[in-house]
Amino acid sequence: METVAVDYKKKEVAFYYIYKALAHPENNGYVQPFTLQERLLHVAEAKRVLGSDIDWLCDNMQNQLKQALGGAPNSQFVIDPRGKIISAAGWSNPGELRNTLSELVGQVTPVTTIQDLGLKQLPPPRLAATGVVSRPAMPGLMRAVMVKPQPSLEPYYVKLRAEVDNGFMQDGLGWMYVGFHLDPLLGVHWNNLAPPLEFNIKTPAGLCIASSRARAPVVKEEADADPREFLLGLEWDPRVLTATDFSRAEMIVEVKYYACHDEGWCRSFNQTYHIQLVPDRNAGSVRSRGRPGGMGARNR
Amino acid sequence: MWYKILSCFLTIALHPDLVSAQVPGRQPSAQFPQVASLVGKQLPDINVVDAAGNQISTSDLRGKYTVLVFGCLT
Repeated sequence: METVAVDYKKKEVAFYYIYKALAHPENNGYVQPFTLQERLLHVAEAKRVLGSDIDWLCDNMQNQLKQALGGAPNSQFVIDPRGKIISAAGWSNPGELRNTLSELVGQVTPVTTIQDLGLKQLPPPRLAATGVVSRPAMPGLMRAVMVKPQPSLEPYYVKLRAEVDNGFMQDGLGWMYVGFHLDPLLGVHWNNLAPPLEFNIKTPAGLCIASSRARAPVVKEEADADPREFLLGLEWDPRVLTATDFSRAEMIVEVKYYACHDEGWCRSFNQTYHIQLVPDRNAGSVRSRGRPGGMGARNR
Repeated sequence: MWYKILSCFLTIALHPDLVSAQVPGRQPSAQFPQVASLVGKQLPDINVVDAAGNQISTSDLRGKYTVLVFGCLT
């Protein structure tokens, strides 16, 4: 894509990458941003690691552009000067794009090669130790559900991801995954000299959770960057919570944790989330849970 | 009663983002026919921001041929 952009910018073609929600959170430790400002940190990080000269635009936090253009994670479009979509591919294909642009505005010779560009690609951010805290095996296929961080004066240095398993989806009895992940772009690590993360969950009537309070294990290392994860039994009683009310029902998660910033400060944080047990189409799918070095690899 | 929530989850189960993660060996483009169906339509007018955080509308992109490629860190 970089070479096509270099060649066809000479023909007055504009190129933009559109930054969207993560397709596969946890890869290289990255987690879904909660705010537009955090998504812009992702954009800056993408520019840094890719060394790209293509300009970035950032989809809004309602993901409206992605949804309007088909919802694919790596799609590619050519728009004519009047704003009409004249080419669309579900998966970006620079070769096909070069052919399309050649037909529209003419060939470019000589063709730039990737070696010509000498892009400086950089590694993802360094993290504190990983592989320190064992990760739970998932009970089966998991689906991300809606997580709503509540207003906080502090950034969400630790971000909650919630998923439910097929058993719960199919018969209302199964498991909920609750994972608290450090955001690597905010420069923090767990402070294991302080008490471990703990949380409590309040559920509406008709939703019963096996453990309404939990605490992460004590870790011997002073610092690490592993997620703190929990699998909680979950049961829905539709006689108490009707299907209509189910989609609106919210669980309230209050979490307390201690973190240190790479620049030196250490603090405690109390933050609150609401979880709705409806699918989050923009949460992405975790592929790397539990794999060493990758901040985890999904066990399938 | 169960079918309502089940159908809700089946909707997400069939969502292309998830299909792409679960069907190895398929051609990626073949998984997103809804994208190809957009050819000939107008780019919707949606507010986004540039890398500096300045709000712009996709309609501001008119005036020249423009390539848009979706991507993210993962």
